[in-house]
Amino acid sequence: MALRQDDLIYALATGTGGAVAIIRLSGSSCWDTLVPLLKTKKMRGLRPRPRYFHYVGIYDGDSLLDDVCCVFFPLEKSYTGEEMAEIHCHGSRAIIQRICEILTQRGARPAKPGEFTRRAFINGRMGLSQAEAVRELIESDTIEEASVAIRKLQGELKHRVEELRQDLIDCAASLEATLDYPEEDIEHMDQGVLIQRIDSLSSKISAMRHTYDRHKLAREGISVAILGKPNAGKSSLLNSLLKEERAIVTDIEGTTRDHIEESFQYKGIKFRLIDTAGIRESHDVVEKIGIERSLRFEKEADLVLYLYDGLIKVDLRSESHNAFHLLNKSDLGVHEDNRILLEKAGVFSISAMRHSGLEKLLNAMQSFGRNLITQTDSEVPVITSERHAHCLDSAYLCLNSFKDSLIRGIPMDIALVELYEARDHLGQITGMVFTADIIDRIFEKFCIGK
Amino acid sequence: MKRYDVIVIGAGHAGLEAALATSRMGLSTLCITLNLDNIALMPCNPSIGGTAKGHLVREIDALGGQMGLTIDKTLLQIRTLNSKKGPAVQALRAQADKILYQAMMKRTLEQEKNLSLLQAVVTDILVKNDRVYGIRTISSLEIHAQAVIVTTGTFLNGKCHIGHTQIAAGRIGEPPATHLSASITGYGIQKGRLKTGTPPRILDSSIDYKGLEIEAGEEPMPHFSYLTQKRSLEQIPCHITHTTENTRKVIEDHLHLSPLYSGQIEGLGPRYCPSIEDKFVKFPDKPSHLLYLEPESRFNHEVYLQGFSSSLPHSVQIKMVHTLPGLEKAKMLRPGYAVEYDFFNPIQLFMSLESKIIENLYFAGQVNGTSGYEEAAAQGIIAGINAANKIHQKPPIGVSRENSYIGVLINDLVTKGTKEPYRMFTSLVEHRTFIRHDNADMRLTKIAYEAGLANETRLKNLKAKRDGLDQIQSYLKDTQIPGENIPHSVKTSPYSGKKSLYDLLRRPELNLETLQIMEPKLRNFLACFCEEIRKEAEIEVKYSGYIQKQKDILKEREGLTELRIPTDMNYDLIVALSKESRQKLKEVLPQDVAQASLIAGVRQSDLALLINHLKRQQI
Repeated sequence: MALRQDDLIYALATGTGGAVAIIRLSGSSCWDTLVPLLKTKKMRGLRPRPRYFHYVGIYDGDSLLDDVCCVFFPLEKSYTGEEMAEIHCHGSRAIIQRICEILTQRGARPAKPGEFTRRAFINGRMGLSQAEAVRELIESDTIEEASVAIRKLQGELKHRVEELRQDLIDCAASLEATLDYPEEDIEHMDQGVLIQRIDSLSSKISAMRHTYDRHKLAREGISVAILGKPNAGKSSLLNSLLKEERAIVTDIEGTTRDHIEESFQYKGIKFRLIDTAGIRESHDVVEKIGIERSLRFEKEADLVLYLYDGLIKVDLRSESHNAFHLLNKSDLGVHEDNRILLEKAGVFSISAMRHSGLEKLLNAMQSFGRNLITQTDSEVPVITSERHAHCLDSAYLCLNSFKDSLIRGIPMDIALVELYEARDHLGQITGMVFTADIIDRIFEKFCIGK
Repeated sequence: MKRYDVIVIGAGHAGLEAALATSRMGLSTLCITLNLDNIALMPCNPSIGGTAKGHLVREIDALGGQMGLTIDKTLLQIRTLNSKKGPAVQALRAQADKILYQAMMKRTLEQEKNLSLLQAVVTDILVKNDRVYGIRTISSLEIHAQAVIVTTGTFLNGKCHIGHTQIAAGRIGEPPATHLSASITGYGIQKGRLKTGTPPRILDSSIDYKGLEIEAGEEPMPHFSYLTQKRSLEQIPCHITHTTENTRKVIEDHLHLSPLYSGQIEGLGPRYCPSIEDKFVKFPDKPSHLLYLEPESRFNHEVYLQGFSSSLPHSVQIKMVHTLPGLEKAKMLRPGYAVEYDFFNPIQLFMSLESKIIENLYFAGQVNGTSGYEEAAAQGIIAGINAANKIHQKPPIGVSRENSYIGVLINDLVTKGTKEPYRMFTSLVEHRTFIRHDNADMRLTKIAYEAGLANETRLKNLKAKRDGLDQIQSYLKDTQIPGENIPHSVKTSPYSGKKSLYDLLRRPELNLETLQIMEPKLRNFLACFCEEIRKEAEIEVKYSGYIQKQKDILKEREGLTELRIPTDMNYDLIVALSKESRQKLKEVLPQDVAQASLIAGVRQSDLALLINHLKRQQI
């Protein structure tokens, strides 16, 4: 993609289906393109006032297409740093489509994904990590995600990474001083002190890096595998939790042969619920593969829900902290020997068919999930982009090999190569290091409309 | 009236390298100085080299310059600095016999066949259609030339300060150049004001050296020039003393008399070379500061008191000197002083050191805001080569940030300008693991040969060296040592099977010496090569991993270097450029995007715009 274009682009900024839709335009001759389509209520041509909400009619030739509101932004005060405008029209697909057609006839073109923010960045309206944050803000589904994105938009990440980078530069500077002034009596930094400083920097970087794992979990959902013997009611449980008939439920054992995965949210936490094939001895080739997968999910899922037939005496399959045990069919009663189990933490009595006991289970899942994704240290900015996580990883590795070089007795001037590399990896997060391809990589990911 | 190809104004370290370069490249050259007796004078430290500066001298030499050859012949002592630190920061430093150095330099200039010398005061440069065509002297003599190189050092409106006494002088005892600065600024070249200083000189026989630490020269003597053969010389030691509590007291009691603190001096001085009063003010917790006693010549008895530069009143300086161990009864021959002078904003120069404002006018040395003889000489030779290249209608010589200290020096100057006298440091050089003082010839001699400055001998030496290095490397790669052959005396981690000498040398605890214990045949093989080549081979192998890493990083940047920006670039065509970036870019006129990316205040988004614009132009 060429780095800069300023031709006129447009995109629908809202989803369709609402009462009102917003179409944004950006580019040179933006105002000139739009204004002739508009007439005031008194059928006069519009003289746009910057950042003023104009209530006007939009015309398709001579015929009125829709009553709309339009806002005009001059380039020095717009999001993209170009002339911009917004058309707030009614949310009808037909109207939106017709307006877009007219704009295209007048020389505008639909924006590519991320193009508005790309232009904002290229025109100097925002920094690199801010630009990335915009994308995340748009894509965020939960309030937690949104608050992280907003904080980043305000430049917190940039600020904190820059602090780390400055620490690193500071460290390098005191090492350089002794190299450049061999004849001065400059105090040498003791190797122990130096390694301490490097360790402290490394641990800060790794703390920041770990926020990404938690964030990723929050964003992609906590995986929850439902395990149990055939016909324990796993698919019914899935359906009840999802509140829809997603999985086929029959009385026949082994109905679910392959796993089913569905996402749902409960009180702000996103889960990926996985219904697995029932575990039993089987000679059916297809079923056997399904069962092997079930066992893998048992190992890999963030949370495992073991489902048992509560009418039969139950032996808990696992003691692991990330296992919940559900005694199903509570509507039909419970085996006497199982009553003692119900006093244990992590054991629930439910009825998947009758939807009873599910709220207690969901609340427990919610607090389990919250623990997994809550950032332990609110002081550490949350890393939300894979690119940033990768830069931090690289910086961390460089610091490690710097330390390793020091311990192996590599001379300082040579070893410093690694320290500077670490500095530049951090600089790539804040945009202090310039390489053209970073920009392309980031902007490929933007969703349309921003 | 005679016409020259090139006129050089000034015959200090910058001027003489410039004049020698143009005349050796076949151009008739006139070198004009205020005083023929002061050619190549060392008005401050009687020494050449040091960290980073030593690198510059090696590079000047590799390019076919004079500084290395002359200092090798005239030194009092020489040492390798940072010898216990890594290979990238090692450098040579020599104490010069300043009188002999000057005499030999003057003779070298006098003997150069295309070079003429003239003692005169230049008052004007002559310009027509934004192009220089000559100079005018104070006696209204006009001399014409195709190119003019200005290397006026600290002489433009020079003013010396000793306490509250102010003397108009380029150096104490020498009248300043008062007209030339105005002539040059008249064409729109911006000037600024800088300050530097020098310490007192002491009579050698009045110093009591008993008890003072001695700093002797290194044996066998290393040398700066790639042409210098092995030689021996009785080296003269330096001594080390330090300030005392009494020094502090005297300075604190008289600080109000310093022109530095009274506002009398407006120019900014170098942070890295503060006056002694500055050191006490800025670092009040430091109890004592090291001072070096450096002899100035075999032909006089003056001793330079390094680290004690001062502009306090003469009488106070005498008191201060007497507080120093060994100098209680010292006789001060000359007081220290500060000098303020005009310099021209180097942002107005191209990388070639040609003015962006007046064609064929070049600037080199302290007049560009640098400090140090080596920094001056480095610019001098480049200005000389490029002026000659321009006359020969060839492009400027390819020194760059990526291949030399000189490249970094000039790139910094023309890209960032300077607010204090600019000094070279190794830490300014991003790629220093392979830009080392030992391989200056491999980096630069070939391009200087192609430019017509470095001679056949240099090229031949270079080829021999490269062959030697290759031979040593292949020998090390081809020779396998079984793990059980490692003698107990060699401390290294054991291994099974075989390893090549090459791989073993990369272990930090091993070097070519210890490898010879493991493999006695290596000794005979290495005996065919001189110490210098052996050492360099060792560095290249030992740190090959790091060097490669840095070369890879450099490669990533190459894309930016390849995006050349035409000199007539119209930045107004890139409409969305921010105001600040546009202004900076217009000012610096970077030659490529890599240089643009180094300009402070140019945003990355603006670089993106610039790249995009350039790419569209290319299509």
